[in-house]
Amino acid sequence: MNCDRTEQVSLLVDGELPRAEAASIEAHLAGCDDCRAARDEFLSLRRQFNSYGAHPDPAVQRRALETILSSKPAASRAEAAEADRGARLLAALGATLPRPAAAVSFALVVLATFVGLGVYVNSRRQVQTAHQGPGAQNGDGGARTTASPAPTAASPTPPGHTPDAPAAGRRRDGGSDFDHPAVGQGTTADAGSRRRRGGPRARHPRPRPLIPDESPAVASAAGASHDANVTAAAAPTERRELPRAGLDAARHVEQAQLLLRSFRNARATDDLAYERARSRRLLYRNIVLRREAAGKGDPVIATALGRLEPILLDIANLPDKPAGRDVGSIRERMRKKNLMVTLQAGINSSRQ
Amino acid sequence: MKSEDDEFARFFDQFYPSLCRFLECLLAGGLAAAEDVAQESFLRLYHKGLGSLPEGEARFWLFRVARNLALNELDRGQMRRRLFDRVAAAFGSRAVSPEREYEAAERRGMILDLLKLLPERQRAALLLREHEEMSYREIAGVLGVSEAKVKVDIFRARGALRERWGRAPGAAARRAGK
Repeated sequence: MNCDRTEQVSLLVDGELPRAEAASIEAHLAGCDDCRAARDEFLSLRRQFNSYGAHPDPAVQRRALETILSSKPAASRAEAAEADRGARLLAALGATLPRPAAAVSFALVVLATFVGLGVYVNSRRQVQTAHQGPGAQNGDGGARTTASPAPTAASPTPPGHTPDAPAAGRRRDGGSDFDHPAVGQGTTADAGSRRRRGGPRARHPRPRPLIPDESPAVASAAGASHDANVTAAAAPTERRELPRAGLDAARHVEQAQLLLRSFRNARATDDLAYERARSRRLLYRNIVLRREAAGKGDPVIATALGRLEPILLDIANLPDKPAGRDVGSIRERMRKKNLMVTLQAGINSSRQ
Repeated sequence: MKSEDDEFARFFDQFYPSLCRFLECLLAGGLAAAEDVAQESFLRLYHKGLGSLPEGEARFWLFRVARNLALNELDRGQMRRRLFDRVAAAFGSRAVSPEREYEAAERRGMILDLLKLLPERQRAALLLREHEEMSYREIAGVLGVSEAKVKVDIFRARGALRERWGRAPGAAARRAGK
């Protein structure tokens, strides 16, 4: 580009020049071959860009939206819906009332706000009371002489749990401290001693904010050790006679799931040499299977393997003594990618 | 009035395709990564609240967040390439006939290959201009730079692509076809 006005040509094709300057450069184009060639090539590039359409996979798009919309706790969605209903009612009132009734509308808005706040405060109080158990309601927060009622699905805390108790966390095996003894089996003291003894545990639904539900097959095998029994448990009870390629992909994805589970559940002090070596071996096979799936036009498996591949790479690439930050970053990406669900979809697809 | 989720779903359906395209080009063909980043960007917008942004600003906010997330992905990609190159070399590339290879390079492939050669900021500025038809002022807001910088970046990106496009196979045919 020899002419020094070519940069203005770039602005011209983008419509970023003021009118006077645009007229000036257009007049210049008539007599400058360099700038004319530049304009033609800029426009040709634009046509090439425009030919690059935006056509994402509809299934991926739909799944992404579902994941996002399900990420807010149900209570928040209920509050938002309640606020929307109130707003719609007010809007309808405002549309029907004549202008002089604006003051009345305003009063109704204020009233609706207070009503909505009351509902919200009441619902939060109910949730907090359920968390604290009857002890909190009775004001003693401690030992009781009667058995406590069974918790609801929204309040899976052990009986006698008080707000001052240490916050529950996630266990290494992916469970949480909400896996507490079954309620209704005794007093607070009994429940406490059972927990200390590590006695019988009853699984209760635990809150999983912002983490999409895993498929039943994956969830049922969560926390299990990685051995042959787990492989058998994760596999479906029925297996039709499948083409070899489908079996290979399904088997590969199952092994990847085991690896990822092992990686996810490893403690900070654990050596990750096994996971790194396994990841490297699985990576080679993943590349082959992904290419095969892409070549056969199997988007579900290709997508699943495509999402898996960078994670395998990252695990294989970890140094001998990886920093907790690096390991945590990979785990976070696994969670955000919804990887286990995607891999399960790949397994299901390969078995069809 | 629709609920917040309905509003968000409409916004999502409107901008998800173009955001994925922007990210795929920015990440030089990493479709899976582009989809992940797009989902994460929309997730952040969802939790922030579509209504919390001034009217018309949500789109720019979205692209700004997406681009920043893509930068993180690009940094990670450079680390990944160390091992991936060794693995890819071990496997070798699939044999493709020259004609098919050229066809594959047409359209998407050619654009992506050329975009890879640009510095990220030039790439981002050009994509926002050509695909999203944003003004220079809007692009400056998304990228967090001045309008003057946007002008220079787009001009330099075009100059670089123009030069390489002219050397790419089929250049004369493309010019003739216009």
